[in-house]
Amino acid sequence: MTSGFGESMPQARTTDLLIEVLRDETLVYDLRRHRAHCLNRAAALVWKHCDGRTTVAATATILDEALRLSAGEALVRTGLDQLTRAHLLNGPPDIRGARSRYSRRAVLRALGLTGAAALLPPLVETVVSPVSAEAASCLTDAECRALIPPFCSGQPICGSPGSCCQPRGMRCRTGQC
Amino acid sequence: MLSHIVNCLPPGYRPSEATRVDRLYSLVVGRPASGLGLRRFTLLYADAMRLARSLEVPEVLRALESDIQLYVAAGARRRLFVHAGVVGWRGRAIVIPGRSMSGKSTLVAALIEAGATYYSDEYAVFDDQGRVHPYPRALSLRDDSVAGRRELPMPGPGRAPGPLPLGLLAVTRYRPGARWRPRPLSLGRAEIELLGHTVAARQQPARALSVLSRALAGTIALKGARGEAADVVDAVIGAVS
Repeated sequence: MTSGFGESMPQARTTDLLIEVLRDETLVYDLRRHRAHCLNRAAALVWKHCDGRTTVAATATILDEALRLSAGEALVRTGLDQLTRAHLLNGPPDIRGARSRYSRRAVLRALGLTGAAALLPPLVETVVSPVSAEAASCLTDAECRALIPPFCSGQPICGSPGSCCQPRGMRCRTGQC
Repeated sequence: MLSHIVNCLPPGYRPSEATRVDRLYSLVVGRPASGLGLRRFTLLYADAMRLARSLEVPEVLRALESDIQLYVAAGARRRLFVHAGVVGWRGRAIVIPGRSMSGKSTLVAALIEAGATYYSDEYAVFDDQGRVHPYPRALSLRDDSVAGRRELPMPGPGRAPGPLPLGLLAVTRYRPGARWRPRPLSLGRAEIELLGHTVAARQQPARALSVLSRALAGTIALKGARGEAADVVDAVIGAVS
């Protein structure tokens, strides 16, 4: 699977991000969306080369050499796709939207053959940072009803997974979160 | 009534002589039914805002306890609060992060039964060096009663244990019939797992990342569903040993 010669990588987003580089991974905290992303080594390399100038083919070569793989562009495309979904790229859309041509199965096949299990997708793992109340202990329904907005801000309800205490008009009520 | 209010305060609280406070709670306790059969609401205020209103005093006290905990956990400047159960085992902390009803309190109780030291079933409290401090509220286990929870007395009398380095991060939740076959988590994935349960993650993300990174250095992190708590205790202790 090859792309057109000279197709450039998109540009990485650089604003409103906190970045922590670990030994084999890169952590990125999105201050706009309050999501934390863990980029494995392959995704971190793809992201690093998202400068709007390096070509996809060149990035694939760099990845293969750095990770001792022969995954070609499939891994780069998958990385771009996952970075796009994580809102860590700025553009352009033609490269970001190419995921249908490079299925997860193709990448697994390419990586599996080379035994690079640590690089298997997902290349980017994401968690949503909780609002304070979501990380609190649960309340009973009666305890939720005793609260008054805005003090019901998503506390979980005991014994009712998926439910939380939230404002409804002037009152706090149990609802689906 | 005062003793009930004191029970709402976080572990390790100390009386203060300060005349300025960060948050002022006011509790107005409703009188019992009068001759006309009228009952008055019990009201709770946080600063000038009404926080809770109920005819049942325990519900309002629970609101007080919950709000104080969240206020302290979200606003602490020298500690990072992560929603988790914690026990100590041979000088290392076993931290079990999880939302309410994920079964962390049950696993904490089973680990204590096996000889671990109780630290918390509510928050793992990290200092800036990444060590875990105790937050020993009464262990609270959910049951099917109307109240929805049953409190067990805090295990073990005596001094509160000291801070511990993190030895094992066990990301798990109860699934009936599941077998504990955890997969190891990389440092980065372990860090975002903990961040997903950090109370002040949105308010202080940079500090949270820095503290968690320090806490997790050299730690084992495992993730997987578990069945009955008693069946995984040996494996969990074995992993940290």
